[in-house]
Amino acid sequence: MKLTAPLRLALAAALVAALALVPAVFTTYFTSAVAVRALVFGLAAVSLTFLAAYGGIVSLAQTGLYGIAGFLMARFIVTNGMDPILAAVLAIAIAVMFGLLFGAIVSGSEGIYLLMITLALGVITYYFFSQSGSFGGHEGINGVSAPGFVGNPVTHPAAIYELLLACSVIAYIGIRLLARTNFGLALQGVRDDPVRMRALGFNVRLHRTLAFAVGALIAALAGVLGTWADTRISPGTIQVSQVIQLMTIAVIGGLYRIEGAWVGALVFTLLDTYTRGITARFETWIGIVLLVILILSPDGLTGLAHRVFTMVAKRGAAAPSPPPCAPAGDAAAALDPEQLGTGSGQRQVAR
Amino acid sequence: MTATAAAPLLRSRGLSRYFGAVPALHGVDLDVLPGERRAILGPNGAGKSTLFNLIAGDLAPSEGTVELFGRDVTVLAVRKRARLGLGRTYQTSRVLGGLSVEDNLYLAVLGARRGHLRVLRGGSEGAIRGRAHEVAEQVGLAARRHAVAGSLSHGEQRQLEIGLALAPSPRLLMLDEPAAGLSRAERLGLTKMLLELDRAVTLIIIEHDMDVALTVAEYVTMLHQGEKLLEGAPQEIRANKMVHDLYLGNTHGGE
Repeated sequence: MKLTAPLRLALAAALVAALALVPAVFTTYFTSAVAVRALVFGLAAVSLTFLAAYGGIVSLAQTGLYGIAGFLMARFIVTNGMDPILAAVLAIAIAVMFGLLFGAIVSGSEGIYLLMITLALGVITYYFFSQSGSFGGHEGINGVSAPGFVGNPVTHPAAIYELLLACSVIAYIGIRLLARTNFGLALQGVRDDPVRMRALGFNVRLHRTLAFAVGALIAALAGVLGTWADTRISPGTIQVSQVIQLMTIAVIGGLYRIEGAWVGALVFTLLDTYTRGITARFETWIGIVLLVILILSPDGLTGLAHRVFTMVAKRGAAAPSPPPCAPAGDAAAALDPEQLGTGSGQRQVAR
Repeated sequence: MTATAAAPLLRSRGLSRYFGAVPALHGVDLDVLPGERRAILGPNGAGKSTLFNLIAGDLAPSEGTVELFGRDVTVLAVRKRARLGLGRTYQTSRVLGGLSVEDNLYLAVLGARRGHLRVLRGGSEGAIRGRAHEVAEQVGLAARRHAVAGSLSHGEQRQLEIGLALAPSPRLLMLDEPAAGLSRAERLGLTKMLLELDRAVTLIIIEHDMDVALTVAEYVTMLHQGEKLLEGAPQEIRANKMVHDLYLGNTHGGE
């Protein structure tokens, strides 16, 4: 029952192909209310998961970076009449600059201090946009047009969905590849022991700062695509409750596996969409479901899935010493969830 | 010790560190020549680890200076001292627990080189991997190359700890109690490895295990209550009554 690398690749390709068929199979409502939203949340959440899993940085500033990109692009398009793609590229570039700035600020901190500083950055961004006249204040900016090939995302969500899916796949593969580069390995070293990394000659703060910029790039991409999908952005999109929501999505998916971001986003969006019809107290019920998930599995749904899979694989193996679930290859070993502290998700968050 | 007039590789003058009003180290002058094997001995609280932390830059001295490789490094950052050719281990293993043994060693080799931020596969990657394999062999972890460092046994983590310090081919290697917690067989293996160490590497070792320390070292510095008590060859140290009273006679009582 061991999954070889080619088999994994084939399964992943099949999954992406199946996901690409969602707009053709499901209703426009489902595509728009669930699928598109889940992909936007997933992309935003993976910017957080990337920093947590590879940098040991739990950041609450990711919605702020989403907002910087979304608001800037909206203003460039609506007020300045800029081409949507040019506006998006410019907005992402500026958000990455802010990511570098935020990263430089937080790179010397760890644990609860780092968490609080990133929260402050996220909240400052929210207040800036909610009180700034040139970004529409509390109203935000409406009527943001997407590029021509996306069409109208509200009535025909298929195109924006496929664009989001493509960007999600690129982000996922990009992160996996980055993890095997010198920079990616050193970043994981900094996550494991910054003192040792300094003694080996590495610039710990520089690595954290650049990781933050990479996280900002992903969050900004989500901000641009999310704003296109909604055709608008308001400060409500990046307020404190949204900061918590994004953190919740990342944690229920599993903070130490990047695919967890999308799993968490899908589960959250499904709950958010369909419990409303069943009970008026849907927020309480969502809270209870999330609580149960976290109690059962501190490293989220992907951690749970991994343990179940490992158990089944062990039972299936007849050999006296069952092989580890993860392939021994370099790439797989680096991403083996075991190394990210299975079962200790909560402790790592608190660290 | 040969009578060459070689400039010291490590030189400290009046090195002191106070924690509040308490001196952890006071006025220590140290000269270590290239290629030397030096042991730093002393009972607990003598200031041995503080001395290491001051030399490596993990702590800033309250007073005094540190010169490494003929250069004043008193205010130089830890990572820059490392890149000058200083490798060290810690009393408690600091391995990169989430990465494989091979990736640990890869990063240790990379640390001393250029290309920390490289995101494209560079030409030097093969050379770095090669060196990482070599070190894995040297510290006896070749068979455990793909194991996640956090899952290694205590003894294996101590081996990797030394591997991390050795991998960048440092000019000065500082080992802080490398034999702590090792079995008798493991201590013998460690002693053998240290005796076989290339003479191009200068070695400073803090060790409570006298068999390891006095077999490997050619010269000993005794610290006591943060001050340098005496220096000499291992046999002089073994014969010194003061040392016996202070320390050697006491080793079986515990750490």
